[in-house]
Amino acid sequence: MRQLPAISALLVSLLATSPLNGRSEPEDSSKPGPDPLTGLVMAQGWELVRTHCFACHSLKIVTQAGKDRSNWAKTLQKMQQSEGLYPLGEVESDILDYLEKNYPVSDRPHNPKIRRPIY
Amino acid sequence: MVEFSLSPPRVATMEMGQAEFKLPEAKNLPWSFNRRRFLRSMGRMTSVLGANIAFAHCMPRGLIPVALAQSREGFVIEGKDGLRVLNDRPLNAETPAHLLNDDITPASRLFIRNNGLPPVEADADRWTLSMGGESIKTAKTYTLGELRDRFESISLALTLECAGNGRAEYYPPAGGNQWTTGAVGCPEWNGIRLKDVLEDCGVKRDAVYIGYYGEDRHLSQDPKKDAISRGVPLWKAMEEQSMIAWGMNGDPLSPHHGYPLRLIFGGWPGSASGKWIDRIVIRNRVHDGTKMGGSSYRVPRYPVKPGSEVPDEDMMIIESLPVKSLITFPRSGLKHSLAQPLRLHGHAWAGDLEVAGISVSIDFGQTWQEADLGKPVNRLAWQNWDAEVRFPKAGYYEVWARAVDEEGTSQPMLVPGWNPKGYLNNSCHRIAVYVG
Repeated sequence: MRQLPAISALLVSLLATSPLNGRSEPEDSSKPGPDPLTGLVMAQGWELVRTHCFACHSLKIVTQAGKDRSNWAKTLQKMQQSEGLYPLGEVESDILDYLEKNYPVSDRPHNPKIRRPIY
Repeated sequence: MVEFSLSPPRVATMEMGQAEFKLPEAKNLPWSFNRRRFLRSMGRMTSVLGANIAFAHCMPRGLIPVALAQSREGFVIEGKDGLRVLNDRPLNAETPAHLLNDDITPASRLFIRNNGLPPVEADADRWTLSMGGESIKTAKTYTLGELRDRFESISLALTLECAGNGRAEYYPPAGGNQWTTGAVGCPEWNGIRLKDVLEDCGVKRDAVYIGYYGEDRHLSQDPKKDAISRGVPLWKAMEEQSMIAWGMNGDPLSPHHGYPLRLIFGGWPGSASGKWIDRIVIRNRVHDGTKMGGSSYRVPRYPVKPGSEVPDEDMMIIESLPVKSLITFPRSGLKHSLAQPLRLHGHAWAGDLEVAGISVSIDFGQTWQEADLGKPVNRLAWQNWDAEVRFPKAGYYEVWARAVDEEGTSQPMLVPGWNPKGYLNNSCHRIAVYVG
């Protein structure tokens, strides 16, 4: 019962933020934000990734990643060959469009000889 | 008002002192009971939140919604203290360097690496370990009681590290969890020698490898698929320090770490140290279980250009991990007085080898100063080191540490050779210090 004040504070904070959203990135009105549940950027096609990938695994493995289209295609292939993913049919290219656009290599740092500054 | 309780199990937070936190006694509180209790409390949490927890069935055990933990930093993991969650299904979490300062890593600060989902039921009283494979003389099955009674108990501090520790620094980025520096620890493990059990069954002359099978489930929940089934060459399995463990630091293994039974091979990729194991096979060929082939825990036989495609037949299994070290005190970002010397502490380890020396630099590697390096408490335990540095003037510094192994091989200052899955990054650890 002594936790009541904490719970009220929590309910207030829930109005502003989702409990399952581990990321706290600054809002940028030009870019779609992350889905509170999966962390996926809510750009064109994101629901497809949620539908077909989230049944088995967290999408943190996607949001941590940066790959070009052919490597994303290889990932889907591996998921189908050994991890139990079913054939995706015509949505496969839509999924690849989404992954290529939102989780590309170029978003990731950088020349490895230049080590990121630490703070 | 709805009553809810998060204990047991208790939730460790940054504020909660180490002494206060105790894992439930596995014997008295089987995991299945924990799980039911946890799920019941989830129902109550839902009423408190005033909203259903969508996908509650997907929430891994041991995770408490962040809102209830009153933290904005993702999930709090039952029994863990300050770990950074990289992935919640499967659960993977690493420890910030400054929380690894203990010479023997407490369970609350050991990283979690899962390939699949932990078993639903894990009852130590009914658990058995069966021994088989084409190169075993007599197949046998032991209860945990039999393992305890029939073989000599040992306790050893053994360094456990994920082969992907440091993956986050590779470019082009490798797929998988983006570990930085925290997928390593050196707890004291309690159990028996794997060798004693292998010899009790008898090893045929053609044996070359051992493999394990565990009770964890594949992410797809397909019972025909193994989440992971790896192993080590027979010579490594027969070493005095290769263990079948049921305890960590005197407590039963926690559910995250393989309760009730696991393997431990110090200095080798953590994936060789199977969790929740119920079967070990003695093989007459390299074990061919899940994640023994392809790019899993394998690297090119020769240096490759970053981003290259490497054919499967040119990949080899990672064995002993390379020399590496951490600065665990102070925490990066420290503000330090120019008038005072700064005391440093950390650990160094080198796979199957011993660390011969460690140096620190405050000038981006231009000059190095030898640190005091201790001996390992036993073979394959990490070694602790201390140093004291003085800063010439106020400003921003990085303190770097570089260890060298007994064969004279040292850590690179930059990221070493790229490989498709981003393994074996043993570049120097560094921390920031603001001197004023």
